[in-house]
Amino acid sequence: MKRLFIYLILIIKCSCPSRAQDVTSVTEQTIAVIFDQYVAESDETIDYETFYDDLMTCSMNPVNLNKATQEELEKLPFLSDIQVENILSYVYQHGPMQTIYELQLVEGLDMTDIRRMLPFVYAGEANDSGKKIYWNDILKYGKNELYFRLDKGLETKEGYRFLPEEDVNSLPTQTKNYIGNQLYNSLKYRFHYKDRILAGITAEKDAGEQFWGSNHKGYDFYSFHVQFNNFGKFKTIVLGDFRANFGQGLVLHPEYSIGKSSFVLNVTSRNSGLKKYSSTDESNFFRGGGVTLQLRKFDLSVFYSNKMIDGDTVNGTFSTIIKTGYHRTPDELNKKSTVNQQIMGGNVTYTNMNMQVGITGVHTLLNETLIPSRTVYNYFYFSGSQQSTGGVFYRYRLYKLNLFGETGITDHAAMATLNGCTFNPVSQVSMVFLQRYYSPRFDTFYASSFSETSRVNNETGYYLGVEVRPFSKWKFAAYADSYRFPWPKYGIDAPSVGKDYFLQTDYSVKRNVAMYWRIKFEEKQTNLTSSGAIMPVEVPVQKSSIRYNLTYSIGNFTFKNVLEGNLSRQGSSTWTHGLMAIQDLSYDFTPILLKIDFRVQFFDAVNYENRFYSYERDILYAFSIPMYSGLGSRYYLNMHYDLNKNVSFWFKIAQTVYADDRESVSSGNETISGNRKTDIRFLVKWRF
Amino acid sequence: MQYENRYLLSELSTKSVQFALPWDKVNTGISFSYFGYSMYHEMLTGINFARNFSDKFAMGVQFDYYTAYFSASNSYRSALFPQIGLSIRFSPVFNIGFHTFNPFQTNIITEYVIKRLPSVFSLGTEYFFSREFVWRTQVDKEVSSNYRIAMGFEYQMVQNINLKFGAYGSEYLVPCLGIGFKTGAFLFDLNCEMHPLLGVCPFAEIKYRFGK
Repeated sequence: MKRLFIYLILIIKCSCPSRAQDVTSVTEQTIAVIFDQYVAESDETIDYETFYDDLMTCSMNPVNLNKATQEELEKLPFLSDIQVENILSYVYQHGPMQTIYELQLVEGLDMTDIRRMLPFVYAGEANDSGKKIYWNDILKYGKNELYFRLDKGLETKEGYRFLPEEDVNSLPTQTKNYIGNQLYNSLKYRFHYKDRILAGITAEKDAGEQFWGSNHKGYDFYSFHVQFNNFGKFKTIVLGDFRANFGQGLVLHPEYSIGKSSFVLNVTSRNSGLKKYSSTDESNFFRGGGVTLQLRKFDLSVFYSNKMIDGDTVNGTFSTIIKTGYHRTPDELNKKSTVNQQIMGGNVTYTNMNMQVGITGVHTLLNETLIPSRTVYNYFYFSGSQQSTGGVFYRYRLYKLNLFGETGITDHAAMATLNGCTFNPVSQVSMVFLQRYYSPRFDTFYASSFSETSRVNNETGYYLGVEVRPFSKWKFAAYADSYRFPWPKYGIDAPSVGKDYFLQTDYSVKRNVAMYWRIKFEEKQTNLTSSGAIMPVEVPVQKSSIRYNLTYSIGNFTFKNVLEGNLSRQGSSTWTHGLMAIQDLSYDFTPILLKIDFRVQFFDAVNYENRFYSYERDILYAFSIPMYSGLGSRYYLNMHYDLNKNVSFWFKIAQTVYADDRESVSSGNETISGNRKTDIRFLVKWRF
Repeated sequence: MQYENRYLLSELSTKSVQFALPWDKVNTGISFSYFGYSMYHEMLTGINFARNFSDKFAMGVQFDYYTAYFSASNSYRSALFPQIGLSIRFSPVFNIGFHTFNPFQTNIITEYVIKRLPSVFSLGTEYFFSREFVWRTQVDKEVSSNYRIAMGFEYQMVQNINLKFGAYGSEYLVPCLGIGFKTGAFLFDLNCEMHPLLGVCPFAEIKYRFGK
C-alpha cells in the first residue's frame, strides 16, 4: 500500500503535461541538453553524430530496467557508474520495478536524472533480445530513414574568389584555392530492425570539395555499415565501417572520450565493444569487420580493418596523419588516401557480478613509414610503420568502492596507466578519485581516455570529483584536477604543471524553472613569448569564469537566459575580461507541428584568451558550440517542422556581426570580407 | 609516533613522538619532533593542556620550545612560542575549529641571519554526513605566504578501516590520500600527498592507547 502511494505521488511529480508532445522531438532535445553538459565550455571537437546516433538507437529500443545488465545501462552516458550500480542493486533487492517512476526510490537519482532517462528506459517484463528473427518481420517491421542535408555560408570566402564560374571543372588559378563550390551536402540512409539489425550508408561532401569535375567525381566520403546483435553465440557482428572501444580507452577507443565536464562523476570511457560507425567524421573509425562471441561469462572479440588514410607522403614516408577530412584544394587532394593502414586486434572480457577483467591487443600496420618532423615537443611521438599495443583493464566492487583501471603498453615498452574508484558513502554524496600516468613515449593511434589534452601521452595527474545532493531540488557538483606534463608540449617548451577547479550548483525550482551557477578556474603554463631567452621561460596562464543559466517555460514558450563573464591573465600582467549574455526563446506551435528557436547573443571578448564557447540549437545531427572572440552579437532562427508522420524539415539561419571595426572575418581561404558571417542549414528526414 | 618523508628525501624527514594523558579536568601531553639531518636540523619540544568545556567548545594550548642547529656557527639557537587551538560544536553534525602556530611571530636572530619562523592561522570546519562519513575544510594563512585552502573527506568504509582523501591548493594543487587501520589498542595511519612538481610525501603514524 505504501509503495502504491509512493507511485501515485511520483507519477504526479514526473508526469508530462497533458498536452501530447512529439516523443522524438523531446528525445532529440534531451540528447542535445545532455551533450551540451558534456562539452560545456570545451574547445575540443567531439563527434556529436555518434553520440546522437547511439542515444537515438537506445530511445528506439529502450532498456528494460528489470532485465538490464550493467553493459546495457552503461549505454546511457549521463549515468555515473554509481547510479548504474544503484539501479541494478535496487532491482536485485526489491524485485522488478512496477513503473518507471519507481526510479526515484533509487539512491543517487534525482528528478533531472530520471527525466533524462525517460526516453531510453522502461519497466517491463518481456525481453526478446534472443528471439529468432524472420525475414518477413525484418521487411515488415524494419524502419528506414533517409536524411538529406545542405549547408551554405552566404558570404563568399577567400578560397572561392578565383574560381572561374563559367567552367567549374577547370583547374583553379591558384593551387591553394578551393576547387569545389560552397555547399556542404550529406546524404544518409539508416535501417534498423529493433536493436538487432542496424545498417546504413553515409555520403558527404564538405564545402569547397568538388562534387563532379575533373579533380573528383561523386561525394568525397562514403561510409557503409551493418551490425547484427544477439544472433546465437554471436553477441555482435559488424561489417563495413565500425568502431572498437575496450576498457578505459588506453589501448583502443577511437570514439569521443569522456573527460572533465559538469558530469563530474563520469570520467571513464565505457567498454562498449564493437559497434557500427555512422558518422561523417572521416578519420576515427575502422573499415572491415569484426565479431564478438559470448561464451558464458567471456566475451571474445576479434576485428580487422583495412583502409586508406590521408598523409603528406614523400618518397615512401610521411610526417603526419591528416585527420581533418577536408579535400578542398589540389594540395589537400594530393594528400588524400595516400597511406594504407591495417589494424587487427582482439579482446577477451570476463564479467561476473562484482568484477570485470579484460585484455586487449591491437596491431597497426602502415604501408608507408611515419616519420614526424622532429621538434622538442614531439620527440617521443611514434615513428615507424607498425605498432603493437596491449592492455589489461578491470572493474571490481569492494564493499561500497567501485575500483576501475587500465594499464596499456606498447611494443616500445612505453606505458600508460589509469586507476580510480567511485563510491557513494552516504546517499547524498557520490565521489570519484582518479589517477593517471601516461608516459611521454606512449603514443598510439586510437587511444582516447581521461586527459587534460586530446592526446593520451605525456601526462600525470590526480582528479577528485564530488556530487552532493544535500536537499531536494539542489545539487552541487565539483571537481579538482592537478596534472603535470613531464615533457614539453606544443606551445610549452619545458615540463609544466596545471590545475583546474570546477563548481556547479543546480537548483530546480519547480518543473518548469531550473537554473545553475557554474564557476571554473584553470591555471596552466605557457611560453613567455617576449622573453628572448635561450632557455625556455614559462609563465602561468590563469582563467576563471562564472556562468548563470536560467531556463523556464510558460505554456508553449520556453525561455533561457545565460550570463557569463571571465577573467584571464598571463604571468603577472593585468587581468583581461570577457562578457557574454544570451536570450533564447522557443515556441511550440502545437497543434501545428512546428517549433522555432530564436536567440540573440552579445559577446565582448576583445582578447582571444577571454573567448567563449556556447551551445546553440541546431538542425538534427548537427551540434554547434561556436567560439566567440571579439566584440559583437549573434542571432539565429532554428525551425523544425513535421509535415506528417514520415517527413520532417529543419532549417537554420545564423548570423554573427562584429562591432570591433574589423574588415574581415576568419583567416586564410575562410576569410570573409566585412564584419558579418551568415550560415544557413537545411535538413529533410524521410521515414518509410 | 609519526614519520614524514617529504618528497622521499631523507634529509627532509620529520620524526616525532607524542604522549597524551587525560585527566578529569584537563588533558595534558608532551611532544617532540626532529626535522633535518646532521648539517641542519630543527627540534620542537612541547607541552600541552586542553579542556572540553560543557561539550559546546574545547580549547587547548601548547608551549613549544624550538631549537635549530646552524652549521656555520656550529651552534644551536632557540625560541619559545605557543600554539593555541579552539573547537566549537555548533550542532551534533557541525563543528568549527581555529588554530594558530606561533601567533606572535617569534623569530630567531643570529649574528649572521634572521631565521623567520612560520606564523600560521587556520580556520576549519567539520560536517558529519553520517557517523561514517565526514567532510572537512580548512583555510590556512601563513603571514608571509599565500592563503592555502584544503578540503578532504574521511570515510569509515568498514569497521576498523577508514579512508581519507582530499586536496589542498595554494600555488599548486596537491591531492592527498590516506588509509587508517585499527587493531586492538593500535591505530596505524598511512597518508601521502602527491605534489605535481616535487613528488610524493608519505606520512606514517602509529598510535597506542593505554588502558581503556
